Amino acid sequence: MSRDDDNLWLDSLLSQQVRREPVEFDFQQWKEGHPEEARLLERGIEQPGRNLKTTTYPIWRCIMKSRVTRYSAAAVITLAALLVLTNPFGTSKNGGVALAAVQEKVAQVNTMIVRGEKVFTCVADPNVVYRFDLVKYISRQYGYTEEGRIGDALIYRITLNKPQRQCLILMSPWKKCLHFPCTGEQIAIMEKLSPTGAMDLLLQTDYKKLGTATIDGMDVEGFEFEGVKPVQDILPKYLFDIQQGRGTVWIGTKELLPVRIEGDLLIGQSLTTLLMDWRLHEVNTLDSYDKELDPNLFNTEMPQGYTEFTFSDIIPIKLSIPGLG
Amino acid sequence: MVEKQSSSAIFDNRRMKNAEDHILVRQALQADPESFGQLCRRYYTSLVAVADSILLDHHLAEDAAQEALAHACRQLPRLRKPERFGPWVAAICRNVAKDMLRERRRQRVSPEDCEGQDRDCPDNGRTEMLAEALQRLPEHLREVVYLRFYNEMSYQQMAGVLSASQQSIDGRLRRAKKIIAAYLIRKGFGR
Repeated sequence: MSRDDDNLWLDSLLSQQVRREPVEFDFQQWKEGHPEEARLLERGIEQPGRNLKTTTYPIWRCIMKSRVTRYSAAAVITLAALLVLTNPFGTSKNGGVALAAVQEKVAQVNTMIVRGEKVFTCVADPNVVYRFDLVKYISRQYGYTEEGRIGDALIYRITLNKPQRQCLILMSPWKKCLHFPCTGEQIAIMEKLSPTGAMDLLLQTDYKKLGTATIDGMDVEGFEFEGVKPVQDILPKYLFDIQQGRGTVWIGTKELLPVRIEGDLLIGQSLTTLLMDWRLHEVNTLDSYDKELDPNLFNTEMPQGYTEFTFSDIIPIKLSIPGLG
Repeated sequence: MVEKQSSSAIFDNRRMKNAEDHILVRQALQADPESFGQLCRRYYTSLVAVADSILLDHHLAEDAAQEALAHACRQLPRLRKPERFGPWVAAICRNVAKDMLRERRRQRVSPEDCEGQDRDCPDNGRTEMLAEALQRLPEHLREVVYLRFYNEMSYQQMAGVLSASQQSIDGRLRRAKKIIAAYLIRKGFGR
């Protein structure tokens, strides 16, 4: 590629003129020099509208004590019960990862443990933010269990027992639970919302390739999708209204499994959200798969000390009507 | 002039870097400061080179790069394409450096007054002539020269902040050297 007009004789002169000693970036020092930014990074800066003064509900005790907070927390937990983020799978055209093969591999997996976080932000008041650390246990045989924690405290557990066709939603801060039988149709809906079921749904979703990268030492290929049309019609809008959605999924090129999934959803007012709009940001990372899972993880019996959840547990005192809930 | 690495390999590496940037940005947004630290380390040298090409002062350039990273941190949620973090933060750095340059001009401090510029070399006349040639270059060409020769940066590293293909970078570099060579020859450089 060398040409007459390359002026190669200049290279050493320019190198002498411009060359500097290598500079190294000291992140610790930078954080000390920029404390506001350091705080921002520590706290997370994912909401464009949030500034340094924004507060969140960081501790579960708030949820436990305030009825107003209970209302929104209950909406979030109910919503969480219906949400499992979806993945953008489609037929492979020329990517390094053949998505059809991924679909097939996922269909063969018997169990998965997925970890991550769910962040719900109330659209009406962006200061109301619930950040849960997640763990999901998914078993082809036993069903689905999702736990949401804040710090060490368990806030909710959603269990769907497939053989018994039972669902249990625990709201730990209040020792309350919802316990109900599931029809075959409901189980099918839950399966559609699980990573496995999402494969089929998202065959229809357009996606963009993000290229390859390394996550935890694994080579992965990324895909970005926008639009959630396939999941919008799963439930009637008055129950569950996904209005917008986008996300990314990173697939291990050797494992042929999704190793990291991120997504953002705008969920409109519905009965499930107790008539509130919420934004959800969720991150899921694959912890392990085909690991033997304890069947007790999918136990849907009401634990000791828990009572049935009713609407009077969450409606503000002034609005509570005798005989309701 | 172009590295021996094939263009497809460079493209693949760049795609991988972009994908990694995407992950790091998303993690940084989710309360993972170390991910932002990694992004900073990844681009810091390039940012200093970009700022130096505007400010012509290494120490000020480091300040500008650090300030640009602070801006980037605050504005990170507005970055719509996380995989384009490099060109985005470089654009921020250019603006910060230009602001600093305006401020310095307002205070009427010439680049020669600034500390840190090593101009005491035995070949003083030639060095100054070359410095002058560089200063006369259009900004976008000077930036390419600085990126290339600052710390022997690869085309891949340069592409990471320039948002340009290697052919385009190579073309800019050749154009810059042609202008410098013409200037030096006109001034009797080396005679």
